[in-house]
Parts: sequence; C-alpha cells; structure tokens
Amino acid sequence: MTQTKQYCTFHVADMFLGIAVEQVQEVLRFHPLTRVPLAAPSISGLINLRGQIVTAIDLRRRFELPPQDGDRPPMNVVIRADDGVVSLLVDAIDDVLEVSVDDFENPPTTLRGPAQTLVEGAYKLTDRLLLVLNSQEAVNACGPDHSLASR
Amino acid sequence: MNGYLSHQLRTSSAANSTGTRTEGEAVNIVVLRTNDRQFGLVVDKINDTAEIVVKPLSRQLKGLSEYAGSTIMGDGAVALILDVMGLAIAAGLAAEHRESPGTSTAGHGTAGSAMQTLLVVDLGDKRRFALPTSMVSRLEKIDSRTIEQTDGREVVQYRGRILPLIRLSDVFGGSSMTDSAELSVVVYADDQESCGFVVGRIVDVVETEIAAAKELDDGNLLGTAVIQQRVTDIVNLPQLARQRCRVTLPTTTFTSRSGT
Repeated sequence: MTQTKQYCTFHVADMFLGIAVEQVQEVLRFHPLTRVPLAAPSISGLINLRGQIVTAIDLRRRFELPPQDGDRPPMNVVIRADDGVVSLLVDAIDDVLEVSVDDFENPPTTLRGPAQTLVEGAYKLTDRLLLVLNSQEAVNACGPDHSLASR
Repeated sequence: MNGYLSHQLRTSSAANSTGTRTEGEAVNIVVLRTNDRQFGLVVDKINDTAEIVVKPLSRQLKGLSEYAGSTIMGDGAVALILDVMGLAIAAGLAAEHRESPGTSTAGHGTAGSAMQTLLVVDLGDKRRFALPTSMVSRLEKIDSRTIEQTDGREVVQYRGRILPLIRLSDVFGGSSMTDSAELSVVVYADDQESCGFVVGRIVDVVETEIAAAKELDDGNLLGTAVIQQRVTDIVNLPQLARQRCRVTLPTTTFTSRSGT
C-alpha cells in the first residue's frame, strides 16, 4: 500500500515543476499587474484578485532565468503561503499529477544557482523529472536585500 | 514604468533647491509636507482625488519605505500609495527617524503587531462601530435605485459580479436608513466571500491598539473598545460575511478573465 500525493504541475523554462495541491488556491490566466518600482526584481507587481491585493512573483526571475520568448502572457499559480496569498507567475500550467511518496528523491545535484534552494526534491516519472518547488523559499527570498530582513 | 519613480525621486530631490527647473514646460507639482518640511513631488499627471482604503503591503514589499500600502481603485486596478516621509528620506530630504515602519517589530508574520487599522462607522444613530480595514477592499457610494433582489436578499451588480448587501442596521438593530438615495457601502473580500456592508456614515479611519477590548459572547462582534473617546463595537466581518451572504462567487478552480 503506497501513499500517494497530488501535485499541481507547471513549466518554467525547461523545468517541470510541481507544488502540492493543498497549497494551491487556484490557477488563473494572466491578470493585469501594477508594477512596483524599487521592489526586488523577482516581484512582478500586484494583482487584484477579487478585491484582495496579491503580490505576484515571477518564477523565471526568481530562478534567475531570462524572460520568456515571445509575448505569451504568464499564468498565475495562486498559492497559500504561511503569511498570505501569493501568486507565482509561470510559463504554462500542466496537469495535476498523482505520485507515490516512495519515489521522492533528493534534488538532482546538477542544479545550479537559486534552483539549489528552490527545489526541495524530485520525482522520477516514466518520461520526465518532476521537480518539487519549495514554495516557502519561492515567496520568501525575493531579492538579496529583503530575504534576510524578514528572517 | 520603472522610470516613473526614479523620476519622482530625482525631481523631488531637485525640488529642494527652490523653484522649478524646467525648460518652459509646465509641470504638475504636488506639494507634500512631512513633520517639519515641505517639498514638491513632480508628477506627470494628476488624475483625481479619491477616498481610499490603504491596505498594507505584503511581506515581500514591506522593506520599501517609499510606499505606505496599496489600494484598489474604482476600475479594479491596484494603485500604490506613496509614503510621504519615506519618499522624503529616500530623496535625502529628511533624516531617517525610523526604520521602515512596522518591519522592525513584525519580524516574521504580522500576528504579533498589536496596532490595528479600523474603519469607524455609524448607523445613523449614536452608536459607533469599527471594522478592521485589513478585510475591507473598497468604500463605495451606491445609488439605492441600483439595488436588486434575489432570493429575498439585496444585491447590487458590482464590477461584473453580484455583490450581496448586508445592512449593518439589520444585524445590530437601529434605524434602517432605507430612504437615503445614496448608501455608503464597505466592500468586504476574503478568500471565499465578498459582500457589501451598508453603513450609515464613514466616520474615520483610526490606527489603534485595541487593548481595552471587552470580549462579548455575540459572535457578530469581536469586542468593544474605546476609540476616540467613544465606546465602539468592533464588528466580526468574516463571521457576518459567512453567515449572511449565501450568494457565493463562482468557485471554479480554473477561472479565466480577459486582460482588460
């Protein structure tokens, strides 16, 4: 009897990432953003989510990756973090996948840069690797300055 | 957009040297005052003045002392609220008396801070009620003729949605204020519900420590406190919203909305 866990999966550049479904509040198309000048580069801006003001974090910039080619708007993965609702901007949404917890492995050692802390583990699927995003880390260190201040 | 703020900062520091330094072109200057000093903020355009509810910024943005918070405008767009003192400090116009407000004590999370911002309202009689502004998304005036009925309750169409109305006077008794043509509505929104609380009059917004709160049994009130020398009941908005609005938002997980 193996325990399974469900992940909401999505793509950022060539990475196939997942967040546990319990943490995901909803998935939305692109919302108009209000930019926040002077904020950390990974903060895309603020969105109006049915009357709630939610901070949107660009996962590409969080991973220190170049912006997406073309003008396809990013998708919002709205998650419930410890201290409120945050939206993660991703390239594309994929399925909700059910994986066996036995298959959980440590993050690949080939990860470089911010990915080393942003990925907390991986599941080997038949045809690809699902990287588990450390959502707390993703919403936490938004820039070199503010990450330490809030600890 | 990035040039927007740097422009402001540049020109606000320039405003310290008396007079405007433009090449014949007219500029808009908003004159601001901090504790002891006046300075001008050069802006591209003045839109309007509006009464708004300032919402605190998320933890990721708390370190930016140039902003006091954010708010939702009438068209649904999110606007940033500038902090006059923070701007003055950033431009080198004022000495830094404080670390960026709130962050020094807050540390992780916001539960520890005892200060709370409350919207004080009345219901057309002598009683005062306070609503925690963290849950208030906007203050609106609505024409009472736009109120419609569904399932025996009052609703209005609000930004493409159906907004249930709750008259605080129905909850707490008192004059029903049905005759007034224009109603003051406090728009509430949380993860699940959004609804409009009809109040008599918006009195003030106060930042206060509600230490003197008296616990009440009634679930609709969080307690009673003395605010501005007046005994004020603090309303439990989430409780009321859940109890009274059954017209829930569409709860599909995959919502699509057009960009503009």
